[in-house]
Amino acid sequence: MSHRRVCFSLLLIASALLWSDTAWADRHERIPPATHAPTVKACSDCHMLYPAEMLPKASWEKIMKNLDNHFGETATLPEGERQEITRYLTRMAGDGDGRAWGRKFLRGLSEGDAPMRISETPYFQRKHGKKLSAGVFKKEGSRSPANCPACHLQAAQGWYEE
Amino acid sequence: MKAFIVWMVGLATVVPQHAWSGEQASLLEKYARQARQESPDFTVFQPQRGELFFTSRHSGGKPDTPACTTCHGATPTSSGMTRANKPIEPMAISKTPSRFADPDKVEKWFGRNCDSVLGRPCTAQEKGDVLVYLLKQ
Repeated sequence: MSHRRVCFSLLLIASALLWSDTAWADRHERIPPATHAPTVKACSDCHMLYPAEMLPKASWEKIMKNLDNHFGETATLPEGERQEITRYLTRMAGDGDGRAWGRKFLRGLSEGDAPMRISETPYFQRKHGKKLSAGVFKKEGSRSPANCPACHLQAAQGWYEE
Repeated sequence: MKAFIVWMVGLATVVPQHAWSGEQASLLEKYARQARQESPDFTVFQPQRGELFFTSRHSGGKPDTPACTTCHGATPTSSGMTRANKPIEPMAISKTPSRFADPDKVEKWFGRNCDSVLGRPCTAQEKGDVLVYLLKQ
């Protein structure tokens, strides 16, 4: 086998591996759920623990400043706890330490944009486009865009692609 | 002094009849003390009043949460559901014996939920009435 052919074959194999790895990662990447105890305790009583990575820092700051009207409910916390959780969420935000995952969710957002819901991000809307246009989320019952595990059964464990 | 005796007698008629834990009983005592401070007319907590409070639609709160039962289910023995679809264990002590054992947790949720449902803090009497109602379920 000529030197050129070996090189070509290796390149082909490498491309195939890279392609399959990317495809695999897209389907099987996991966003590890938060383990920060105060955040887990305070945020998961009422709803699934949404990953901080899915929103930018500015969103978390806004959400945590408005706990007296948290999506139509009062969710106030003692000030120390509120600050500690805000620190965690902004640190792990999509434009913070969580950017490995979060950069996807931040696509299409401008600097300073602070969506209040993950479902308002362009990335979420693109990924759920067909379901949004079919009105799946508007049906009564559990299929609200806030209820990830209604469709992504393993969402609470960090798997969203299934 | 007379009112104090009435209160003691009232409390004695309510508290010892039930196998409530020390935490649950002392929480009730705390609310009784506060209720007396808030209103000299207060005598005892009444489960019937608590039931009415728990099941009524209130005004003044946030539009999505007009009643306790909005999230907690129609009766204290039924499970509830948060508006974000997380199940809430029944409030009735017979179904969820660990209820009301942590006074800080009770205060945290009365604080939030009274504001959501009524748009104001609950009075100690309202809290106590609901508590005796749920402790008897």
